[in-house]
Amino acid sequence: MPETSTKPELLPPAALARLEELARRYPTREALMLPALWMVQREHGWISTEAMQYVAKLLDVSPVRVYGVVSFYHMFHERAPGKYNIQVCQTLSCSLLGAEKLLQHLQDTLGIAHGEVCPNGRFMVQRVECLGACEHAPVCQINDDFVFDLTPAALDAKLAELP
Amino acid sequence: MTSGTKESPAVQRILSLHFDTPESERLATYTASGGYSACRRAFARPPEDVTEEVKKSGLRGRGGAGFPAGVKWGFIPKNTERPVYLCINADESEPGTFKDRYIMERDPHMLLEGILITCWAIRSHDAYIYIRGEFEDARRVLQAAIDEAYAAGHLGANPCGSGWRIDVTIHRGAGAYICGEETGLLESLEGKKGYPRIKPPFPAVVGLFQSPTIINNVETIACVPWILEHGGEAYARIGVGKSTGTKLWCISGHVARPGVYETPLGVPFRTLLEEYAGGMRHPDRPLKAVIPGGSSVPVLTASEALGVNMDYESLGQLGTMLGSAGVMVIEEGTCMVWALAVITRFYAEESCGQCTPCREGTSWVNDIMWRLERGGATPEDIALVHNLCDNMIGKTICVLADAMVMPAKSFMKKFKPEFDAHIAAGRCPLPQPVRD
Amino acid sequence: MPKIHIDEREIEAGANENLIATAARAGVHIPHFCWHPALSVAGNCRQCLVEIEGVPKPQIACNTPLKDGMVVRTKSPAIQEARRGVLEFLLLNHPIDCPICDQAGECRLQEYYMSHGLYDARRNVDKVHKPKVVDLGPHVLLDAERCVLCTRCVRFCSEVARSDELYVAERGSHSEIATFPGQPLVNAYSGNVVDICPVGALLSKEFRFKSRVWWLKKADSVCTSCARGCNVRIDHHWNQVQRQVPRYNPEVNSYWMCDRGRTHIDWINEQRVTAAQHGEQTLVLREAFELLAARLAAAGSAVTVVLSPKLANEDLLAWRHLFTAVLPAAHLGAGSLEPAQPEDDILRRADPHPNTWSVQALELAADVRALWQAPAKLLLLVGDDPVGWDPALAAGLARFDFVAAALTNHNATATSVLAAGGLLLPLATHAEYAGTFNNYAGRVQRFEAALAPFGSALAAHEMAVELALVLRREFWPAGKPRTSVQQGIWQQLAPAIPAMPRIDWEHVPPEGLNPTWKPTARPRSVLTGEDATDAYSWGAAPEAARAGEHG
Repeated sequence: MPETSTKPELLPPAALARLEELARRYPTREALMLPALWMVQREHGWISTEAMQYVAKLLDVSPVRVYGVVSFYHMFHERAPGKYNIQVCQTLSCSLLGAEKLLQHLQDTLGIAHGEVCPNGRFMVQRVECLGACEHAPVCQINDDFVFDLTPAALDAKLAELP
Repeated sequence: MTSGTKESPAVQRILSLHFDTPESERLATYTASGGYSACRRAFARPPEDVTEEVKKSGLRGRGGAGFPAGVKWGFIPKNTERPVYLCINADESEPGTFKDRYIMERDPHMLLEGILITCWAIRSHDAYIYIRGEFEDARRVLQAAIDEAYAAGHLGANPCGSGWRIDVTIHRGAGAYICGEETGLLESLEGKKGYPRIKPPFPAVVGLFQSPTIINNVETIACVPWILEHGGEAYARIGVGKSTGTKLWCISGHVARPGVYETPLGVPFRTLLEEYAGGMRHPDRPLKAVIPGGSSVPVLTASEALGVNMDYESLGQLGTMLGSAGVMVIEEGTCMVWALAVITRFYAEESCGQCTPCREGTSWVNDIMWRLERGGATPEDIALVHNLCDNMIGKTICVLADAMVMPAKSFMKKFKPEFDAHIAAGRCPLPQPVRD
Repeated sequence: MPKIHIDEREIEAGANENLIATAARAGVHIPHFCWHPALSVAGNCRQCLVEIEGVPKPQIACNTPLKDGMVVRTKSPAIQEARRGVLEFLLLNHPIDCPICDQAGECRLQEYYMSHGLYDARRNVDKVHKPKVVDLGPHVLLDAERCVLCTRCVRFCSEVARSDELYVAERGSHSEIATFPGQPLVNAYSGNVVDICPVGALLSKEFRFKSRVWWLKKADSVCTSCARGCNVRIDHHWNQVQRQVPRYNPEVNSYWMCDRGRTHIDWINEQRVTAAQHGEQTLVLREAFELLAARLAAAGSAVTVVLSPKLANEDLLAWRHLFTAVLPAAHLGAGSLEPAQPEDDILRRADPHPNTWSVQALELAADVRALWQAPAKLLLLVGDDPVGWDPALAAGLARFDFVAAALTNHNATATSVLAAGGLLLPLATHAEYAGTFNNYAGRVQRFEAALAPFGSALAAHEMAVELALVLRREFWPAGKPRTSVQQGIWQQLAPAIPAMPRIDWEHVPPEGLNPTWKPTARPRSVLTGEDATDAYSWGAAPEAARAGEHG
């Protein structure tokens, strides 16, 4: 194993301190898997294989366990997503109220399909399953934030006002 | 479109009482309306008494299975050497379900107080709230509430002067429906993929970190303070028969006012639809079908739905389930083959891939469904799907496969002419599967 | 122990035994992929569904607790249909490429299709495509399309090899077995994942495309790569070892062996000494023995004999007897200069020899370099490659009037002996005769002849007897044995050595004998039913025969 301690830490000291604080709440280090991966993703936007090895070392687990976990959970990104990850819900309540048209509109306007990132890196589009906000269907999430009661026009307006 | 509860008729409410109160998520608001008094009552009684009170209430698990909560707590082995854990299932991912989000965002202290009481009842010091990754707003609100509760001494070393340490930790999921399955949740919490566990052993004996564990839904635990405050018998008087108490209904789809509404169990569906959800969104498009308990339960036709009362037993008699109370309302003019394909896609996407029949079967059925809808199906395909469903149901570790089979078989049975029409036309005969 | 009824047969469940194992003892094979007797229960393949009276849903036999009076049905129409259904799902995305698959002939998918499938293909959707010929590590290839995701390999790496190198990546129908990106599967036991893979997903790089498995002839043997003495099976064809796989022995190696032992087989097949040679000249064996006999007679007792801890008990006993009792030599010892191997607490032992225990018991242990220096006219080497381990030894050969070496391979020692005008005799490997090794713990383990001897190669003990014959000396203290030479050696020569165990050579059980065993009763086999043959040959024998195989 190459020594990684000479490289800059993938997590800043404050995050590491938070993680160690959290460690007191769990009887195993492995239980910090999702919290640690969330910290890495928050810091870097995605989780590289290098970051997976880093987390494996932090938690004293085999790197392949981290890889398996990252690839299992849809919200973890193994590649850099766009600046804004537009996750369009396509499950029944949203589909009943126009999610398919919304998604089509988005793909037509941005020229990218599911899982792709705009050439300028600004947007990524993801079809996702039920986001748990069916009363506001159709919905999407842009990064961590819900956007409710969408129409193609409302989504255009929302995207236009993003910084 | 509205989403709240403002226009709901005034009936007995327990959970949503403060949803629309300004700053309802704050500790001060909660204590001003008598919050954190039920847990004091609980701490004053032996834990077995508390469990007994909840048993008396008849409170059933609100996550979907409907198992009596107090009975579940009683499964924790007596005098266990190992720590006991409480896991709150806030992975609300069943399509059509969004009630737990309301509790966490609008009355988080009610949940926290429920956790305190439950921890005491099952002799647990550590509770984890496993919240789905997409609920980042709810997580922030809940974390702020936890921080407030620690600062006020309601959580931590000595909650309410009980001397019984209780720590509550939020654990954020990362996008996997299967982590709402209770043992998938435990695996995920332990830092693994959310593969459901084979049973036995059952979580009450060997659960989180190899220790006795109780896993309850957010709504279930949020009912507990009221039960301790007013008594199990008072709770049992609400509702009908074995469906005691009130219920948060998540109404979505083609209704005028989708949202979360609370009524006693046993409310007629017609009342929910017409008086709460404002009827159908379009006056000239009548009701066609209802999925009453999240997408995993068998569908009801309009006539079935309009005559049913919303409680565990009445829905059971119609061959469906109350499930997670995710009521999805579908109007005339909607293609039911398409609707089923949308549903099967969900299960194919969310199958964890552990068990053979589910891993292979959900995607096979889904492929056939979309072919029925978009063209390329053969007349044998419907019989094939029925047979594949039979080969999946009841043959896997968890019930995700069953959760696809139940809607699939009921859609194909109750809307058979539409499926036949798709075969005859070679694809969907409608100009568009769902109207704007 | 609970008594249960399986298909109308009553049987008592064994301790810690699951329904699959219990049923196997009752002669009922319950099909399964993911369950393995030496790994944790995963319960994911769902092939082992059975009907249990009073339980509404079918249950998996691998994880169902056994209760007294339980009534189990494994052949009801509902169960047959459930098994057929599971098998159809397993084969849905499988490439069905048996004609080019190494697993063909010992594949559970093939086997169960014949016993439980036999349906017409109904697949009418595109198959999910996954990576093929994935280079997992130095010994293992993955074909992810053939994988049934039973996770036996994942559990092996975490529970047995304790390397945790494999896991399932992705989810749902896109799930696949993977290592960490860029990190190969390099644990010292990686080959076992190929053995326990019930289908053709994990393939041995060494065995790939070498032979169809139905051509293979099989012989029980013992691995000679270290002092553990893992029980193995030699699979051979065309008088060549095609592969060496572990043979279950709970006392020694369970179901496993290390990669070094598994892959260390080329020396048996290649670069063999197949005829006697003196300098440039090839001799028939008789001439060679006469030459050696004449030189031995000339040297008198000024003879040094260097034996090897790679020789079997019978070999060591015979040569020891020859040069102590029949024709006493001044210097007789056994040793090797082969360096120690990496050791661990799983199987691997540092001592790279299969029979060091017996060398010590026979008081033969000696320093090879010291023997080389000892004053003598004739040097006789049997086995191993001392010059290969220490090239400086080559120069010392010139000191002797005559040098002879019985060797298996044309190695550095063979070259030096011939260059020094010496005699080279063709020695058989342990794959060519039957004998016993005592492992590091003194356990007596018998190996069987797998191959015909290469050329005119002889086993070392046969050479000793032959040499005595040519020398016109009586080798046998109690007369020529009427049984096998090996049996004669154990009956006539071994009893003189107190440290050697007393064994009935003809009846050493397949799992061996521990050193404290006393010949009071016939040993009872500890191997039972399906467990013993789980990894291999399970498709070859009918169920009943398998169940009774070692019973």
